[in-house]
Amino acid sequence: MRFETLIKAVWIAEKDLRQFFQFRQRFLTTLILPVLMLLVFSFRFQGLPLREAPVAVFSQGNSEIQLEVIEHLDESPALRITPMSNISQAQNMLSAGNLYGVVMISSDGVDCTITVVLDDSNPVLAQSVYGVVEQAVKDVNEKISRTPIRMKTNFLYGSGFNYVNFLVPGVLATTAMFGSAFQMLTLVWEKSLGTLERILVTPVRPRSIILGKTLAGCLTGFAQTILILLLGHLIFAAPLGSIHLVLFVIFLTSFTFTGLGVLVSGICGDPREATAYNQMINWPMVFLGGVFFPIEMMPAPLQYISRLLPLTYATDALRSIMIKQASFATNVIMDIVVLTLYAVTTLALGSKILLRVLAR
Amino acid sequence: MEPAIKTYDLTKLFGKVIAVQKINFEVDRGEIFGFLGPNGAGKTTTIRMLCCLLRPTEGTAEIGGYNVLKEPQKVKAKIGYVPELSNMYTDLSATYNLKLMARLHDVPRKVRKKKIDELLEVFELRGREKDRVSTFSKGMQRRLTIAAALVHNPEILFLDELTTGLDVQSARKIRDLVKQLNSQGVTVFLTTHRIEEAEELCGRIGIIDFGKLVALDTLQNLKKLAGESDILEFVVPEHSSLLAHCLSQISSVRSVSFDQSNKVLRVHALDADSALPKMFELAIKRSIRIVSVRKMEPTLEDVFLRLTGRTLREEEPAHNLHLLVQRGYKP
Repeated sequence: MRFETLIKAVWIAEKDLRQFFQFRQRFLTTLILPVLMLLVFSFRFQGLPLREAPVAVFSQGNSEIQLEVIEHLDESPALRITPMSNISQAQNMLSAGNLYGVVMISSDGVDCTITVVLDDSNPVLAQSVYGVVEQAVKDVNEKISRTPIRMKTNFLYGSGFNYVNFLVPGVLATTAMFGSAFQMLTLVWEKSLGTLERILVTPVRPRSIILGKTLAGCLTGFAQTILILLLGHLIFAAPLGSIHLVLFVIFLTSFTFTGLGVLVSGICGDPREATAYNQMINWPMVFLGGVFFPIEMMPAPLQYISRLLPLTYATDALRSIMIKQASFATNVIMDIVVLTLYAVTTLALGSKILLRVLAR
Repeated sequence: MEPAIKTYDLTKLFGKVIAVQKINFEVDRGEIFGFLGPNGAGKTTTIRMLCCLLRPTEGTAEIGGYNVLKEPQKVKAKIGYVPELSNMYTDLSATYNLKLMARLHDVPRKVRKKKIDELLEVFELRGREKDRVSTFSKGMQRRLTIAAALVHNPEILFLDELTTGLDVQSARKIRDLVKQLNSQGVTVFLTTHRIEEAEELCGRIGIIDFGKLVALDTLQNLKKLAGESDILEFVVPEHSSLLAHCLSQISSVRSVSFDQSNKVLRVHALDADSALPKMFELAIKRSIRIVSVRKMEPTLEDVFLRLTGRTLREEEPAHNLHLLVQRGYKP
């Protein structure tokens, strides 16, 4: 290779690096993602997932072996044991997410059976709780020289430790988010390519442009998500729950992220800048929004951040509907309210900024 | 009847930079009016303000009787705008692009298809109308961009640097189309930095430089502004600073500039006929070769030079010896 070729390659590389470092948002985005992955996944896989997980214990009788089991469970730092006497109340709390598991211990004096009731809408969490209880039972079994304790599991929704069922709603929410947000970026692209000017020179009101773009954003996000929904249902046999409600939440999610896209489009004048902002907002949400694993298993500070993110609510709503068969009247309403608030606020703010930009 | 375009102290500032400064002019209906000036003179900024794409910092304009600030929607309904760079949706077909524009311009459904067919025919896009615009040549894209500005039969057409980047044939074809449109009653406002384009198309021409309108008149009247000096063009084998300097020392010579592309020294001189022998004498004395000499009629370039002290081709100011000498340059 000629020396001149190499030198010129270096000049070109220098030019690219200058551009890269000059564009701070892009630099930040490239850092944020790996840092988040490290943070989130290291906590997840270093055995720190469960700490003081609230578990109710329902014990019929007071045999020695029952007390032994309760003591072992109580000693585990992973669990926070609450003795309960009303089983249906415990199950309601479990279904509402206030408990992570219910341990029922029954003994006829000879045999002892432990039934772990788990919320299988959250199989990762359920599996972790099950693992801790299983370990406690194993320890007791090793200590005693009699018929070993039997273990049974009961799942609230009959889907078991099925991770795909847990994953599909999260992936649906993510698809709606990326689909809508990326579509909204076309506004910034159009600004930069000059095609927006073509529309602006017609007697169309800027409001129509924003509305049209929002509609397209919602619909593309919605359509893409429906395809994933079909895929999840037909190939991975993910449950659907109330299909009307699922479709409604998917549309609402698309709408929410379109609103966020409108806001980003208003703030950014340059497509590169908009893409960077978009990534900076959306990628962390994928990791913190409870898409791949429950937010309950994240460190407390990250959990607080999670609760601020719209994707958390979209994922939660879809999971409740699809796995827990939740209806509009149940806890989904809270998610829907938060998503709507997000959508309306971002859209109003974004439109206001965009209207000013378009009228320049 | 009110004029097609009327501006009132139209001004645009970008931060502290003055792009357009208190411009006042009128364009009559049915006229082809040209805005001539070098790149960066403020032509595009003016046209964008007139098309309601940019808000004037001060002053205002009326287009077809409507105020650009108060009634932008009504202004936009009356105008067609062709930007310097074609801005069609290149991933969509020509027909769809035209259909979209017609829809946004409220062209009634019944008329729409007929109008689109007619435009495809006139602009010679028939046969390719279903193809993606990205597969079109530059000339075709330009024609489509003009067609898109005409879907709603605008009264006033704004054309920004109409033929920039086009080959000679395509440029000729587009200029003919503009003349044809004008003969049908469309008022045309065009900006250009091409003298021949302004001379060929425009009835009246405004000359703009550094955001100011420095002259506005018919071509004939503007040429009179070039002054009483004659113009001599010396064709030389290569640029000779020495010859340029020698010529500029002659008392009757007003200015000397060099056209790099044509290797021509352009000399403005009073009573050129009597100055010529002196010029040859100087060239022979310094052994400088002159290929040919011709006496020229003044062009808009000369008018511009006379008015602004600069040539229209901003990339060639270094060859404008007249300016360099003024700044103390010694060849």
